[in-house]
Amino acid sequence: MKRCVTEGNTLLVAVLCLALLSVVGASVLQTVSHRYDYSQKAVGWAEALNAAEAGTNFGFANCVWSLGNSGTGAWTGWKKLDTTASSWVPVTSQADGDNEISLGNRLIYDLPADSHLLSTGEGTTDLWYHVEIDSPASYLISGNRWYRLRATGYAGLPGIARSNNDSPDGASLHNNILRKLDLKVDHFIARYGDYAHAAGASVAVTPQAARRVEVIVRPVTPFSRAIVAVAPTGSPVVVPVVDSYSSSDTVNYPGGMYSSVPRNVSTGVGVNASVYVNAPISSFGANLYGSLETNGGTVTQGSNITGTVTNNVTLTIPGVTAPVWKVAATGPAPATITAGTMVSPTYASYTSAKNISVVLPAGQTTGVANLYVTGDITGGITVAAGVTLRIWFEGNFSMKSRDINNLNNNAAYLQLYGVDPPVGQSRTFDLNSGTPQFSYFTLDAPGYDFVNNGNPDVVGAFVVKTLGGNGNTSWHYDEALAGAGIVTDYRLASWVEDPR
Amino acid sequence: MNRLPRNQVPSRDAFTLVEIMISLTVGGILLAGIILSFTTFQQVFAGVDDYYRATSDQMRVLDFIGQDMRRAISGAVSNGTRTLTLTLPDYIDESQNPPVPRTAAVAAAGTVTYGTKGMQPTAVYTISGTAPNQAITRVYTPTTGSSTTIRLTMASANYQFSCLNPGNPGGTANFSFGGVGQPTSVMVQISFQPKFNRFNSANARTATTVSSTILLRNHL
Repeated sequence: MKRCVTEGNTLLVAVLCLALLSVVGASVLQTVSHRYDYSQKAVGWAEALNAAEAGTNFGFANCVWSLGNSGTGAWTGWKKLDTTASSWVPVTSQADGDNEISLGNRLIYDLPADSHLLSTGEGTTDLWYHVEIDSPASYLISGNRWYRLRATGYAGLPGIARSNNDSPDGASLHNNILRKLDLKVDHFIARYGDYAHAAGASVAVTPQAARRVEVIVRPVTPFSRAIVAVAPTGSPVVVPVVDSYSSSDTVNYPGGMYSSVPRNVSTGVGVNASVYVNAPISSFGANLYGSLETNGGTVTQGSNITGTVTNNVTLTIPGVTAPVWKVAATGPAPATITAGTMVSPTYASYTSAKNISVVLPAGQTTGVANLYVTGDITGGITVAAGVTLRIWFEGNFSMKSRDINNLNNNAAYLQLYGVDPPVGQSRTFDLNSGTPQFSYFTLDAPGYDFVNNGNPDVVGAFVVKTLGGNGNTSWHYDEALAGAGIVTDYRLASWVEDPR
Repeated sequence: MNRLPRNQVPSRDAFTLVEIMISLTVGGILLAGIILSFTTFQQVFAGVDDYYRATSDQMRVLDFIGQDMRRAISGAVSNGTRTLTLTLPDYIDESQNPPVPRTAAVAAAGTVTYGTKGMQPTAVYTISGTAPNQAITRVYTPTTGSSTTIRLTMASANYQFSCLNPGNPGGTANFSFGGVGQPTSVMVQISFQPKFNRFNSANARTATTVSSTILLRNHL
């Protein structure tokens, strides 16, 4: 009997030891399991941002494709709302998508299931995105559209619908927690609703991390600077005075007309004329009321430059090509051309233009005309008030400055585009001497040498190969032109993540 | 007293004193070993777990700063690199019920403004407490309403936090970023003092340093 008792004690001790070890092991396992689970979900949360940014990139690419010069059509695979059926239907074409956006409607895109980024390793198991794009009415500036993109990135999370409190001090307020995981319902839909659900809806999901990014995309136009000279050598810009004003600032500039009176370095009014010189120049002699940028130059700040001098700027200036709508020109432009309406502009091609006048369409107060000239432009140009005239030309441009009669007194209404000449050839944009007068126009002609004689004030923005003005010329940049002109590209203007 | 028959004498098959002393000694050594092992195991486990939690806190702080800095309009570093102030877009309209994202105002010059220009929320990251109980905190101040302070790390790991100019990583002077001609990114470094540091090595903290350079998406 005593021996049996001894054996029983041994067994008891062994069982107790095993139980103790099991408790210790279970405790360790539980702790490690929680930590591992938390780490995996944190990784998923981080990767959801990658998915969201991929969504914004896709939306951004479609904005660029909508320009029509990349060979890829925009809005393929996107959907629009069919208001009669209250359902989302495929966008039928790029024009269809553009039209929906111009009407203030939204397009949506869901990454197809077979394009999801799947993984069976550690971290997230599935990555995908949903993108929405629209353009509120206030996003149409100078005739060019800005876009708003909202992309939500999703990351499937491994493990069960459980996670540690992601806060070292036990904070439980939703807004104070960094990693908001959708363990059972989509929290964005619950807060805001979406294209298919009202706010407050509980849409059940398998564990996922969802992060949302909103980006604003702005158009790039040639006229964000007063003067851009692309010649890589020599002294491409020789002018006496460059300053700025804003035709949209009717407080400092009544009627939107240029005046040098409000110009003040202290207030920043009239001193925002930026000049970019693509050559490594060592000096800049103009009185510049703004900043100077050079590509490898050695210009130092002097009293003649009110802004900053930056010598390490390299810009890629897009060339100018003939418009995609051009047709074979059969003869010179008539003396009078009637503009089309804003909805249905005029498009016409000519072999040359001399002393042309573009008038409003009958019964309209606004009009738009787009002309393509394969040869020279001479004599003069008159633009009626209310008409926006765009001219693409391949030959030389020559007339007296006073013969550019833009009756809108606003450079945005007369846009001149000098098509890049063939390699080895040169072109000139020559404003000959004449009586003093303000000339309002914009010029995007990176292959042209712009020569200006006489005593004119030239108001607008100018992208040229070289620019030379004699001692009496003055150059006034209209700050309101920053978003005007043909769109050559798109850029990111703002990036915001929705932290809620 | 009558003697009991030999077969009725109580058993004397017991341990001798020597045997008991030896067994007690051996048992004591074993027990001490077990206790010591268990205690050490606990210490190691607690040390490893604290280390994990500290590194986890580091990543949380970097993720928090990353989220704020990516969307920031501008910012500044002060207090000997130990305070990071970020100016954020006023993206959420808290006056609505429920709060909703605002529509940004855009301008021809390329600017985008959420809410009222000049009135933007801020987020300030800094060290709170004193050694050896320093933690990293975030103070969020909205355009309306009171500030919210949250502690991003446990205090016991004695965190250190510094924000450096990538163009001058050795400098401790105050600097601003995000504006014209200013840095477009900030290098954030976070370290802590590991608890499981029996030899009190001076390099223990250095080995915990995590660094991340974060780019402002909205820099000019």
